[in-house]
Amino acid sequence: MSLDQKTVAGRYAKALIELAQADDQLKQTSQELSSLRDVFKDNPGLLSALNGTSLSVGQKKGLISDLKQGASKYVANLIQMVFDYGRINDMVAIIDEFEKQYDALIKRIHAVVVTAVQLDEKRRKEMSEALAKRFDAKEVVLDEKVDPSIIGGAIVHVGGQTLDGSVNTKLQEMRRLLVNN
Amino acid sequence: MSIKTEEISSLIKKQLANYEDSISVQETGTVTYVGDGVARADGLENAMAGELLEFSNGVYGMAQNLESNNVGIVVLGDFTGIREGDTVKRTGRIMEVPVGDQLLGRVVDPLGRPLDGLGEIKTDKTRPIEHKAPDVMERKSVSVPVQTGIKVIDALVPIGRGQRELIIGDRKTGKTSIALDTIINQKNQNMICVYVAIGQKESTVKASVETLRKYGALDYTIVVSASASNPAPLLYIAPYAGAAMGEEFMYNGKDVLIVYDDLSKQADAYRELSLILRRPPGREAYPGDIFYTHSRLLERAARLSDDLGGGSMTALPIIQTQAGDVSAYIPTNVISITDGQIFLDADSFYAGQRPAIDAGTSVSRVGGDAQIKAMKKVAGTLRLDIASYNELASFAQFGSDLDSETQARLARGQRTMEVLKQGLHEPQPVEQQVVTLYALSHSYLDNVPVDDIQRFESELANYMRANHQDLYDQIKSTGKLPEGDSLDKAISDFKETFKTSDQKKSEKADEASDNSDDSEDANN
Repeated sequence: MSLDQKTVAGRYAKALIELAQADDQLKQTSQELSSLRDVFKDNPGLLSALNGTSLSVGQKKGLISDLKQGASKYVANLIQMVFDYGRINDMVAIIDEFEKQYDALIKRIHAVVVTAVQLDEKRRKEMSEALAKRFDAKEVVLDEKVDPSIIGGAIVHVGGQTLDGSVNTKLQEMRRLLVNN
Repeated sequence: MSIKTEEISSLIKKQLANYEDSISVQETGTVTYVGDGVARADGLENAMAGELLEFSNGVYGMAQNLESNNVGIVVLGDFTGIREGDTVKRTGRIMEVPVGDQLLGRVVDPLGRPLDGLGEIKTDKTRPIEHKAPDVMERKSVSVPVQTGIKVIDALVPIGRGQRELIIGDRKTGKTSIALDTIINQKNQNMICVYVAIGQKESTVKASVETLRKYGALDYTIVVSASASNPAPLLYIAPYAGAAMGEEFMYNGKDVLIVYDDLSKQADAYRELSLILRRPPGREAYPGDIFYTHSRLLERAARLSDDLGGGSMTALPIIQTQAGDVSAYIPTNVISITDGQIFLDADSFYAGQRPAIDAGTSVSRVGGDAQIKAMKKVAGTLRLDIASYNELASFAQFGSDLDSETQARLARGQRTMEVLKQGLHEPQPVEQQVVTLYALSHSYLDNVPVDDIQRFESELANYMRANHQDLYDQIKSTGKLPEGDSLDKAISDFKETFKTSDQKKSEKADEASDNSDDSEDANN
């Protein structure tokens, strides 16, 4: 039975993290990997080109060596190895998984914050501090989104948890109570 | 009229008293696969097995497979509205159904939602659909009978309150009819009935409901229906939901009769969703825990001890066989779980022997204790009579020269089989059954022509009701045969007045000739 993407990604990420940690290059590796992910995200055709049959092996190798340019030793090796083993399709998943494990290691959280209006600097800081306290984190990375339909308040997604403090949800809840009684 | 602002606001305040202004914290996951009534979701790391989950479009699901990277969810409703990438949230609850008196007389789906268009069901109680069966110390042995009103069952395979008796047979052999007749006969017997229809056609369910309504049986019955058009997960949970509804009454000290019609369809539904959940298939492609699926359901039928109120739940599971093959996987499983089976035979059904119960293979392992004394007495030799008749009948086909003893046994056998025939939806009270079988076993029927047996039986019942109701009452209240020869006397008195068809015919012919004589006289 073939392994699913998540299992594969978990194994590669774990190996990379252990290696980078031993060499004290975690921070640099992490930064390089997120910029690599940006490359994949900015060029949606790249993955399918590497994965598909439209390019010859030689052309693909050329693309890979372009990707490796400027990368540190570990990241370059990772790219090469993932490509050689035919798992380039799982690259983004590996990076996601790496980030997740790295977050757990340094107590960092990624939070998606949905608000009705753009957060200002003060609120942003308050939000970060509140989340850091709640989730016992040292660092909070906010991904802000604006959605006027929630009327007010905020919805925060952290990992598998959702904190919903939006006015819309509260109104719905009140409506449910009034209609059901 | 002016609007009373204060009154209104105080009302609203009261209704909102439960509202708390807090941030809702929920665990969510993302749907990665959906199809065929099953969804998989990433995340939801803390989900429990069997937990109720809510999809973003309001459809509920039940967590079935907890794997390292995802959760396999069976969708309890329309899965076509769910898309990959939707969120699923935990509810922290185990699947529950509404229970209570308000459900009586209603037709509901396995989630307890009304299907009969009679409006909302307002119950204040719910029960989890999966519930641990009562353990050894919480039970009591079966001692009170369930009167099915069907002669052959009450005489040969008696069922006790708290027993599990399997009804098994090919398609179209009258399995459902036996179950429905039993429900119909529970009128005024202090019994609450639950009829769980699994994977049946909507029209069939409708017909069954109308039958129950026609005989006034719906007032004490709950019908749970997961029809053939419902997705497999609903068919799978239907019997558990029905059991939960029945249990509520059982734990309140009442007697419950629950019919699962039928468990082969439930097994098929469970096989379907297990295969889609990619559980390894076993024999006949059923999953490994198919036995447990049925055993944990049927174990919930029980007779509770007096400490727990002495209630009971009698289960009548139904299994459909293919071409009479009882050694297939599901039939053998359920036979081994239940306390006996009523086996319906297609051949005798088509030969006109209805209900087509095979007396040789049908047994009740505990019901004998629950039979009333009078019935035990009159039915004692019945099984033997039928067995020896069947044996002789096949021999008798070859030769015509039979000694008188054999002929007598054949005659008795034919009459026994005739007595055991019974019409659809015509359940009989136990005292009537006892008198009929008494007449049979005490040779009152031996010289009645076979064709007249059924008429004899019904006329005897009418005669007894008209002239000897005291004997009926006596049997019913004491459970014993009347002392002395009062019953013998009543039956022989009736037999004096009974005219066979031949006698009637010849009388009619005489009368006709008399009449013609008269008219001739008049003309002259």
